[in-house]
Amino acid sequence: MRSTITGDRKGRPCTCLLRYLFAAALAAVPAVAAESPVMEALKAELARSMEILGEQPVPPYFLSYEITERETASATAAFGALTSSSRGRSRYLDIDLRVGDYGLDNTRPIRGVRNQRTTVRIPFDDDVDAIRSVVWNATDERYKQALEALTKVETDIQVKVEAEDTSADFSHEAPTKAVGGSARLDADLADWERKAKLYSAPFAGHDRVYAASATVSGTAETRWFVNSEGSEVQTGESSYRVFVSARTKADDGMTLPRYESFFSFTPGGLASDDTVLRAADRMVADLAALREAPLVDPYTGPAILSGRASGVFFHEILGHRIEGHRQKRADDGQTFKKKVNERILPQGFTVSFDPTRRQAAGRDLVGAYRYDNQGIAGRAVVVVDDGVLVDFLMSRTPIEGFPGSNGHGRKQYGYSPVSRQSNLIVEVRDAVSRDALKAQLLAMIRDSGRPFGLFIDDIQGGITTTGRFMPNAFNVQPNMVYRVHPDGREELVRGVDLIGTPLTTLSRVVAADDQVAVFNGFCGAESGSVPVSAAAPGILISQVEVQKKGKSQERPPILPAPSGENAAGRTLSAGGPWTP
Amino acid sequence: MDALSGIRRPRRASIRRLWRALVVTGRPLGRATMSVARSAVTAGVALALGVPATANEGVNDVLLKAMRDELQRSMESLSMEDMGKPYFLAYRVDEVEGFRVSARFGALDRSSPSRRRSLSVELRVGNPVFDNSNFLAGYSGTGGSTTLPLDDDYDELRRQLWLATDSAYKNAQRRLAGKRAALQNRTRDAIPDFGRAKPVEAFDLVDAATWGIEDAESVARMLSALFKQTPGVHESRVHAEKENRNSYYVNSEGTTFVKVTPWAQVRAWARTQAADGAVLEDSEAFSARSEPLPDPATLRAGVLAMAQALSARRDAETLNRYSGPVLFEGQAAAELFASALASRLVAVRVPDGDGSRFERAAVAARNPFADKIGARVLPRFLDVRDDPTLADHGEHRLHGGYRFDDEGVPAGPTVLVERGRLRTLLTTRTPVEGMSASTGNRRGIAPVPSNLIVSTEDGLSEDELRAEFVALIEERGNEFGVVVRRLRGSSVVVHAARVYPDGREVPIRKAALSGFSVSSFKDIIAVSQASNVHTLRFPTSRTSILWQTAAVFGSPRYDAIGSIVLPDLLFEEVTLRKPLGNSPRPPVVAHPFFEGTR
Repeated sequence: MRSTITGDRKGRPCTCLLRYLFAAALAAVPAVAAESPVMEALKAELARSMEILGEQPVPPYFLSYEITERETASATAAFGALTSSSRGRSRYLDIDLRVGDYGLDNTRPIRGVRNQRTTVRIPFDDDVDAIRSVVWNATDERYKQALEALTKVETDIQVKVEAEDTSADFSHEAPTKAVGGSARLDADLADWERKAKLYSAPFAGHDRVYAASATVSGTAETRWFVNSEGSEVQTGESSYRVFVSARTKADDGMTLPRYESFFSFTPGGLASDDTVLRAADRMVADLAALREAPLVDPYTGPAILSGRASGVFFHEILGHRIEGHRQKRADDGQTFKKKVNERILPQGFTVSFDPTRRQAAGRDLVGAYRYDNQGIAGRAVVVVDDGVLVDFLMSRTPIEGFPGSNGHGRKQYGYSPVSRQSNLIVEVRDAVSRDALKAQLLAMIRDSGRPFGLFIDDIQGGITTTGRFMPNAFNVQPNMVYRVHPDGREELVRGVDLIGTPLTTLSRVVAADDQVAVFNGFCGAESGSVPVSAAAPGILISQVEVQKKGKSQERPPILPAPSGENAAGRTLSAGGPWTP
Repeated sequence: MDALSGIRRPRRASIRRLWRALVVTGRPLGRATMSVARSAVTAGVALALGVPATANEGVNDVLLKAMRDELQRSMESLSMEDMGKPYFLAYRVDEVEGFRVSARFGALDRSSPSRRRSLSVELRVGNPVFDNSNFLAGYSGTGGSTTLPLDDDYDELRRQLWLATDSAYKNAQRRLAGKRAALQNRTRDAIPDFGRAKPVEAFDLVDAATWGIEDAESVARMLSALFKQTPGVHESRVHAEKENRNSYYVNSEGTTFVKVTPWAQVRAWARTQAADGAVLEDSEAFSARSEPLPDPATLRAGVLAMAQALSARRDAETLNRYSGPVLFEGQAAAELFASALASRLVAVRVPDGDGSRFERAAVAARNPFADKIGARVLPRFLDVRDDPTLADHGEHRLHGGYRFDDEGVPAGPTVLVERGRLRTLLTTRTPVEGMSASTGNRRGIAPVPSNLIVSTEDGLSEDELRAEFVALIEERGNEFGVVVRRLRGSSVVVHAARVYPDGREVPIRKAALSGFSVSSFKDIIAVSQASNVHTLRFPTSRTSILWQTAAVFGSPRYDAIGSIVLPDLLFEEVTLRKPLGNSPRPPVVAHPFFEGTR
């Protein structure tokens, strides 16, 4: 598994991608009395399919349907001018149909083979007949695929060496009955257009900001889930977001981006215009400073990661490696599989995943949910207790010693669920103040005779691979990095990425501060893109390594910005000194 | 390598879901003007400044002014060290407004309004004889395409034009240098890279399609619900789409044009399986420009007839193999001609390549018809012309018309085939061997037919054609002949029947054309007097792959909609066979709506 974090919406074609939040979350919705036509259609087809397919020579032993409805609205502006504004509504169907039995079924991964995404569009008009006709057709197709897959699985087992992990393919779970209401989108698109223009306008006066945009968006997601074990779940979730991005280019061609993201479960909970505009002004100042910042050469030494950066650090380096199903795949690195009850972090460090938690450090957490995509209630899971690894994140795919789900079977519509992260919470017993942490950093610099240390304040993205055939490593791409000199002076620098391997790097985490920050984003992996959060304090790492950042070879524009020639009298700074 | 599966980036919010009402306001009805710009200069740079002399109501002056101002600045000052300035620069802005709606079984599953504005930059460095175009290289990146703001914000439009031009210029210089390097040790046929054209100022402001999305939704619901009456159909969907495209174009030779291209379509698709599993599909479409689509009763009748015919085909006989006379009627004749022959009627410039791999790709994409000018490609009684100036054929609307093409070259009729002999091919301003002038057929990135008219003076009446058909069958001693009424692509026979000499017809379930090629058209024995009119999207992929790689610019990619007028075609011998491949099993569980009805 290869995982990438990006703050950019244009991530590379990768396998796991944690991005700044683009949408999603939970909102409490009142229960409704009458059964929805969607639920009625799903239950009818479920019963009919199980009955009739049950008479086939190879009957399904399990069938589940999930319909995801998404109502969306979004307005985007660049440099104060509207570039897009849209609303949308869609419903998609996912089917989990299993033949064989809980121990061995058609879903067992065939070593070396990937699954494909399939999306089935479902009518969003509440017409039971229309919905049933599409569900029927998709079920038939899926049943035939399942028969074919089971035959291949049985062959695969015979021709390959015995699997290291002999646990079953599917866990036994009690059915869930929890029918809530539907999510409703509360979108004033005209006002969102105004906001998008307002938030992107401050960049228009700066000729060397080559791209700047602001998006205000909202999503209301309703999910209906039924399975042949008797589960019936309906949940409604809404989320709202502001995303501001801008970039400039250094004279050597290096692209320098900045992003700001704001998330809330309610439109009223989003940041005020003043707050966003202040952030935009800070982005302009950061971009100006980054253009002038010196390049750093490859270096190894101590570093502090701010809370936002350390949240992503833990998500990538620890989080993806304690996702249960990765302990089972023959081609995965299984870094922590045999490390249960061993120390992997300093004493006092506790890491948990808690989808039931809706806020941390005063911020809404986008990784919250009530039920996962297998109809299992989300629950808090402590994975590292006082520095010792104790648990994994589990879907309904069992692994040795961990036979059941803990409510982390997640996916984006169109994918099959696997164990995924929710809200990552890092708590440290002996946290110190930021100043005290910096004092420890300075002491390390002096003791080791290094010329400086690093303070990594914000990240733009990253990559990590957890497989066996590529180096099991990570590359985190910071965009606000400071050189910390022995006298405590901090100097903004550019041009480096943070690299390393998981066990070594985790073993060098030494201390944490009390400045907990929240990162809300999207994580993409084999079950698609799911909203996740990380709440973590700043941490001190005794040794990190940085390497040169790849950069564009394209020169900045040849002609000055046209506004420089425009009689309207806008800032004329092209070719001259930067004037934020 | 990454061993986990199916990991994709989440799809970005579809641009098609853009909301908001159309800003493109009240177009003057049916107004079209064209004039040769008086300020034009034959060579070098000539720029028309300010608003057009012929002020046109409804034309976006802010947008045009921004385009002209940045174009003038770039032509005057855009250069890098000792590299030259551009010798040609064109901006094209497409404002597209419309929607895509679809429904199944009476319920909507998609309704996406869209509104967007995009820019394409065509920038040439060097000179018209040798420039950065017509070159295939191992590096990609055409540069110069971008999204523009929907707001008429002069400053922001200028900024985006500036950045796109900068990117196009750097890319053009890189390509020109690459092309020089690749060709320095090779001899080359010196066909110029870019042809001349007279500057024009032209405004083709036809009415936009006014179809509303709510109406389209109800049409889609209504038509898709018809499939509740056809138990033999397993899966169906009805699409209702509209697209109004407003194109703004300025170039450094002084050409300015603004044109409106409206388009609306309703399309029904259905799929089923025969008892032995054979998958059967069919579709029916209705198209319009700014005029209304056919009335609901006509749409219903068309969709229902298609659905019932599809159901009936489930029980039709199969045809294992057949060689003999085949009559292509209506849609089948048009589809056969469009998919097998139309793509040969355009001139494809074979680009120079950077290395043998690209040379081979270039040569493979060459149109063999370029060597057949003057040769016979059809029977002597057939003529073919392309005529974008036609709006109608009899009572039928033609959809491929325009007044000037995407390079501002005035549209006119082109005789392509006369008495069966190939006269010329359709061209753009990119010269090909033996054809230096543009016929005014560039749409998007390539030459594309507009309205293709296949005509004859020797057409037979319906009875005469049938008699000829029967005579052919009997002459060969065949038991029956085959009439094909609906075709998909150049080989999938959707609708066909055995025709016995006594006139009896027996439907055929499904078949495929075997071994049919362009030269088969010479075997047409007879055609009908009556003409069929069909609207279709001309396949441009054959040429466009090459063009995209060789292009100097990012042109708007859109389906070139055209019409074809032609008679029914009787072939002396065509081979049909059962489609290859295995069929999936029929559904295990019955359709929930029809359970118990069959």
